Amino acid sequence: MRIEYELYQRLTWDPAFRRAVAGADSSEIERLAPNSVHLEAIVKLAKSPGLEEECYRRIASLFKISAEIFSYSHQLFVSYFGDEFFERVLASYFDDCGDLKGTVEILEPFDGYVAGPRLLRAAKQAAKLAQMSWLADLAGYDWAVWHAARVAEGWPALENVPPLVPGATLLSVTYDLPSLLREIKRLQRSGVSPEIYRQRIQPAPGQYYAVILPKDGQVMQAKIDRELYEDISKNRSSDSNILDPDYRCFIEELGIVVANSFLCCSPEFRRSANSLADVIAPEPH
Amino acid sequence: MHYSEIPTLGIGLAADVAGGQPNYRNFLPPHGPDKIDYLSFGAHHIQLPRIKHFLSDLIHDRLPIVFHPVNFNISTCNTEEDDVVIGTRGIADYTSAIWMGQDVGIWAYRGHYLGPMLIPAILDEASVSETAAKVKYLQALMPCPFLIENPPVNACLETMHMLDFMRHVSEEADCGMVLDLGHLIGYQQATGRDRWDMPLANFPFERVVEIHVAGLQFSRVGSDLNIIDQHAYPVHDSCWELLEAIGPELKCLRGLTLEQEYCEDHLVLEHLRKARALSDKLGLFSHAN
Repeated sequence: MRIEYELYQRLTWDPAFRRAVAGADSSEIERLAPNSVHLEAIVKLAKSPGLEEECYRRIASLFKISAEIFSYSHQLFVSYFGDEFFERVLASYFDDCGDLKGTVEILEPFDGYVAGPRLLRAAKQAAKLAQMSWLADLAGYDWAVWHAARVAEGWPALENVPPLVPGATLLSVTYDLPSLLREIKRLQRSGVSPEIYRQRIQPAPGQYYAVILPKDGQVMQAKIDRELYEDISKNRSSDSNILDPDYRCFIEELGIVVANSFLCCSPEFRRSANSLADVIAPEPH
Repeated sequence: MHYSEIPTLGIGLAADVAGGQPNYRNFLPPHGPDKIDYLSFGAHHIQLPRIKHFLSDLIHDRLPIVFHPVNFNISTCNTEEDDVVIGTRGIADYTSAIWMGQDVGIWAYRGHYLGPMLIPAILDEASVSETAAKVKYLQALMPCPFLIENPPVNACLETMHMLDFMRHVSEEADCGMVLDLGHLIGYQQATGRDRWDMPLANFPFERVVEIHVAGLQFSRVGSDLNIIDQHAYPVHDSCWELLEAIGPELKCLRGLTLEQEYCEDHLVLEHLRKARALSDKLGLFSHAN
């Protein structure tokens, strides 16, 4: 693929790169955009309102899916890590992150199965750097709930953790998670500022163990004790971050979902994998 | 089949085959007096089962179909993956698609489908050659004529106007074109041109097989304006105006497609009636073979 396509792609997905190119002098441009025959045009492109619009569409889509998946932790990502967090996720969006060929690659770019793992990974890294493991755990909780909800809709599970059912997650949190969630909800209802989130959202001492799983079309959260958690943990056959080695079933199932979904024009449109809708009878007009 | 042999269809509707909104079945015989002449839809190469589920009765009744693939990278000359070619061809075969067309650009990056985030074609001579080579390759593989469509553009790299690019590619590949008027209006705005500042005099209108009209979204940020293709909105007046202006040149037009995914039926009806009236006034299909 021509270098110019690579540059266009990077300009639209990497806001920091776009700003660097837009503000660069001639000596820097060649370094930033080597081997291109359109160096001046690339600088002009980087400064154009149209490219800014393209960048906006991507970052807005990422914010939107983040708010949807990480319903409790998204505002904390914003409060603690700011726009830079989301920009970094975008910039590395197409780097190799373990996606299996023929699976998530056929979904829309900001589908939850594409964006979710990327955001979760980035959130865990950022939380670790900031010594905020509680936020990493909260993000893990959000992902577990969303993932279970998706599996409950009929999608194949992105992660399997035997002996749990597909789409289930074993949760262990070393603070009072329910209290934290209640407090976040209070703040969400009032639409308060990021600063107030930083002041008021602090985990309280405690511990919480649960299994989050899809069941009968809904998400169940089964609170368990430490003993049961440790029992289940001992019997887990794989790390929850590693996809099931036998992924052929997953590919076929995801293929069925994609085959049954309207993906062309909107990333928001979803259909259940289990059955196709009935043909809609026409009505007179 | 050469694109010049394509039969004239008339006015069509682009919609999801599931018929959620709009329900294109409301505009097929024997319903209403207001009918579409064909259905246009887009689909991934793996979606044949879905298409069969929703369209089998209409395929049996020989409803004319126009197909918009979404998996080819039209602007690179690399060959496509076997499964993509086979799947896309399978859909075209099953539906007996009269023609198929896809926007020139990059639709998959590092194997990931880009969809609405596609990269528009670079508009220069090297890209003309690459794109023409890809179109010839696809023409040889597909069971019906493969057309090129001008893509939606908010920003692009160019040494020539979009219409000149389309002209050069279509002549080099000897292919027909889909001219998307909303994409063209957005492109004019994105490249800082006045609405009518485009090289129409040399444009090979005889290669325009299909016209697309759709809604437009206007995004104003301070003094900057972006005009964005938006199929969920009513067809914009500027699209109708542009169609009226170029109508007399469209001597070989085979189809006028209303891109109305997510629009309610009453809007589709309104646009269908307007399209009929305008096509009669302009004699868009008076050359019908």
